[in-house]
Amino acid sequence: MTINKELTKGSMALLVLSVLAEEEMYGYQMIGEINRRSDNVFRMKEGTLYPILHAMVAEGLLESYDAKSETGRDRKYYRITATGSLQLKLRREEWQVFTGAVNSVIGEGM
Amino acid sequence: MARSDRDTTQDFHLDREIKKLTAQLTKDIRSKSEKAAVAREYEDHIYDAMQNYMLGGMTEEDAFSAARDDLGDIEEIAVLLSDVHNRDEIPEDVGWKLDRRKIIGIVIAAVLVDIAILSRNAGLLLVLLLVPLTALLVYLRAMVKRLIAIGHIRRYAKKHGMTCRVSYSAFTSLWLYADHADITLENQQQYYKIRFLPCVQPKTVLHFVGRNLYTTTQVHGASPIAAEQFSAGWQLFRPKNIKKLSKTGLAEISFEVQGDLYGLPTLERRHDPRDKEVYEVLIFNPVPMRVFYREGTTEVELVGGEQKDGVWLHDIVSFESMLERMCRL
Repeated sequence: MTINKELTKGSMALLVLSVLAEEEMYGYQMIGEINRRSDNVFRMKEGTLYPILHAMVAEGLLESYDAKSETGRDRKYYRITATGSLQLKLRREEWQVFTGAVNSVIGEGM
Repeated sequence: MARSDRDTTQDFHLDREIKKLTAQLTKDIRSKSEKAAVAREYEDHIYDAMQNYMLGGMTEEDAFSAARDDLGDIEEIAVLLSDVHNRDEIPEDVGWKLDRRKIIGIVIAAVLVDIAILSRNAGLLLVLLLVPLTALLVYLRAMVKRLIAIGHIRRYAKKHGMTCRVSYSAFTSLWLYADHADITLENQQQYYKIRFLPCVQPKTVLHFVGRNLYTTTQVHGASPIAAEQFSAGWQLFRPKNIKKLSKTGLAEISFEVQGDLYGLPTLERRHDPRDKEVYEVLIFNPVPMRVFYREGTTEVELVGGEQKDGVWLHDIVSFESMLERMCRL
């Protein structure tokens, strides 16, 4: 099952921050990791990840740098900043509140 | 599929296809260096994806086709990239256009005042003086709001044992964007720098360029909003009128709201379900500001509140709640 695009879009920054909080990654690696962890539920249009990453760099949530990957090829890696870590904490809290509220509402009719 | 392997084999056509694709993706990015860096990143992505598909037994051509499909709508991505990479580009002619209007207005007003004085027409002089008096009144009202906000922050600082320094720009920034701190809050553990955004505008006109609407807005608003009506957050309006100025690529947008405007309106474009473009005006209320804190020797912008143009805007309530959260971390 894949999820409606609009639902995924709003949570992409949270997903990106979450995977980068554990490991520095390049774009394609990140997509693979998000797909793997979500069991392909968040299968996204891959090209849309990069504008999100670039915007997050501009906002100071991420930093990017060039380095060689394990295969020896040059890659643009992303890592989370201190501001990004703070943002992740806040977004996680918001997410808990949000999902709790949605569950409370939709749970009533189930 | 390593880049060096590919160069030595008969892949000329593949290279050309990839160059064509990355050129489509980055066509609207203005900076050459950013365009090249983004193209390179997508190029790497496509080679990675192709490699996976080819390991599964696909031909090079099929693998390229599948990797391209996985990217999604190329036009849509190009627009997203353009929005991100063309930020903060306010064309010079926008500023000049606005300044020109101000200059013409001032010259006309000066001539009229001269005529009134020379003809000793007290009635006309009084009418002419009403214009600056009205402007002064609007400014004073904004100043009162700003003083209340500053008082609030001072009380907060006192409560938390912080030193609060208020710069003169906390008042001048009602009109002008200040590049330095309006207010600093500090104690041994914490440091915050607050920068207010201009919040008195004389006219209801927004200017923007092409597709990058929310990156190049410049506001001349005098739209009044009742403060009690919008206690926090973004308020959304549909513009009444959009007049495109084809020669300059700019457009004038008019909107009407009731009450006093103490926010910085921003224009946003979105798609409605019928996939038509809709333009909306967002207004942050009241007293929008940017907040920075110190981490080691570097200043970091406080995230939270509402985000527009890649900038986090806080009102008093969101600022306080952010400080409370920070203290708990």
